[in-house]
Amino acid sequence: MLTPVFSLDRITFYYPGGENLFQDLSLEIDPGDSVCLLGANGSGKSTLLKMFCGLVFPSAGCVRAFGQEITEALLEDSTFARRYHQRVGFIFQNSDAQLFNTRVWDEVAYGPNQLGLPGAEVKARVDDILTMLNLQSLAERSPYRLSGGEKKKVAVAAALVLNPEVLILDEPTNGLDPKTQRWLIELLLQLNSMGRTIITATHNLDLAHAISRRALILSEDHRLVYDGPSAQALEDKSLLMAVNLIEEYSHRHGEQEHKHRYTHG
Amino acid sequence: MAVGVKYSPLRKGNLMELPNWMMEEPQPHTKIEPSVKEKRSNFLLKSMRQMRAVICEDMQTERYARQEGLLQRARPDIKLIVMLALIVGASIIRSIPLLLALWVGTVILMYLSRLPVWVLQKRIWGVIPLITLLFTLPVVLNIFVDGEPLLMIYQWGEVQRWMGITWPPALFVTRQGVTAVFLLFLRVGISLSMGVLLLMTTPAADIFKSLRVLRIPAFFIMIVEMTYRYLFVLLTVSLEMFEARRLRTVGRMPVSGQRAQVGTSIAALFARSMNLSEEVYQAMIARCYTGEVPDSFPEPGGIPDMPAAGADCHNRI
Repeated sequence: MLTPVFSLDRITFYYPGGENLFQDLSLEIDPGDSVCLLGANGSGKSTLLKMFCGLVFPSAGCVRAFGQEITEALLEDSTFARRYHQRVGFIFQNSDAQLFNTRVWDEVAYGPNQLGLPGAEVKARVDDILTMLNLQSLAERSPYRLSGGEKKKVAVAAALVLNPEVLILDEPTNGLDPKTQRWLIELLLQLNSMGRTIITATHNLDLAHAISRRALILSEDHRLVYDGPSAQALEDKSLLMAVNLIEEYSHRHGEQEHKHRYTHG
Repeated sequence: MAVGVKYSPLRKGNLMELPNWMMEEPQPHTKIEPSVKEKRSNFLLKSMRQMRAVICEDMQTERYARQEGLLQRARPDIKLIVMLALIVGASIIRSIPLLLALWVGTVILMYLSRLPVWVLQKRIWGVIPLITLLFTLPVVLNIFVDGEPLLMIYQWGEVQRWMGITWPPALFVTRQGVTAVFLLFLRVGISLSMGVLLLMTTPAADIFKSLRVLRIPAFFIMIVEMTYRYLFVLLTVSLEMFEARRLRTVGRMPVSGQRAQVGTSIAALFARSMNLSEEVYQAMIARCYTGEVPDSFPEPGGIPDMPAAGADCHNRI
């Protein structure tokens, strides 16, 4: 039997002074899975992703990663934390927050430098990843002066250069043009076909359909209301409407009334 | 469905050429061994925790300010004036019973405004007044404030001259000294209590608007308001930057490397805040800002609903 990459066992989570965000939430993610976490704004997707990454911890219940329990104390052990973060790559919704160096090259080299790789190997890795993602021309530029799509590509390069086993993405296609969306999806599909586990939080149903086999749907009251094949979930209009992922509105053309479905994108 | 990009499954023609080091098979079943000896305090983690705490605290304060309670119903501008008057009053009053009565009043107001009384009392009295007390403690001695002896510490019997200072025949704690220190302690604590009452029962935006009643220029209030607002934006961005950095901190860097990293982070944050300020300014211009702030009076928070407040008090008591 496969050991899940992540397993959440009856977790409860709340921000201090706030109400419970999650209550008795349980789920498992297997190695090589491609999972899409769907939910409207504020449903708790980003918090759940941060929990996988070891940035926030449940108030009750247990989070396991690679077969072992992940606790705040364990992640305070820097040896463990380094290895953990090398295996779990995270791409933030806001690329601006993720890019904190003054040159793209330094941004991508940050992780390999941290690993203590020799200078020549760091250079080789950075050059490899910049070539692979076609970012060579940006190497000397400042990340904060790039366009949204370029920033996202640099953020992906900075995460991929560590060769993580799990790649977690928070709303990766937000604000990207169709060509960059296409590029990102191709990349995610390719990484998944190589055995990498991909977890994506989004409310873009087209993206969910394209990159994931499994969907996890969170309701607006932070409950896991669906865990199953994404194709099936995306067909279930009443479920999608109940969790505020699609909306129906009507308008008139002369005497005739039309109804349309509206999705976030 | 709305307009969206339709994606097709992976096609061979679209595959990227991956470098060899990316072709390694993942090892999802390999556990990560924690170190047995390394237990060092982590600056990054502590900073992140504190940043989160500040953000959460701000959200919690706003929640208290918007809940139902006695002081929450009062007009913010009136509340501001009354609290300022009480703070001035507390610093003038020389009667300890009166100051104690004022403190009891603040506690009752906290309770009737549904604030966490015990938590606030610990915070208010546990830090600043206590530090004030420690700093002013020598004042209780007769060498600083002469007066009626309360507690004898040492007696020489005659006037001494030591280290160029003339010392009295005895060293003792004076009643006047203790009173002065206790008065200061109470004044600091009560002034803080008033400030906390105002901040925790009034949304920040209403406090800023209420400053207009003190004839503070609108332009100055606008700057303070925006500073407060963007302080939290900057805090959130910094927290995300720290989180991103922690996720990619997978090795130990030499001190020089860490210094360089801190330097680049500061530079990146500075550049980002410059960009943000430029965008904010452009957004203001786009909404008709011409360098002048309209002199409009703050929206009243509603005339205090005294009968309802009274009924609420009655129910609470």
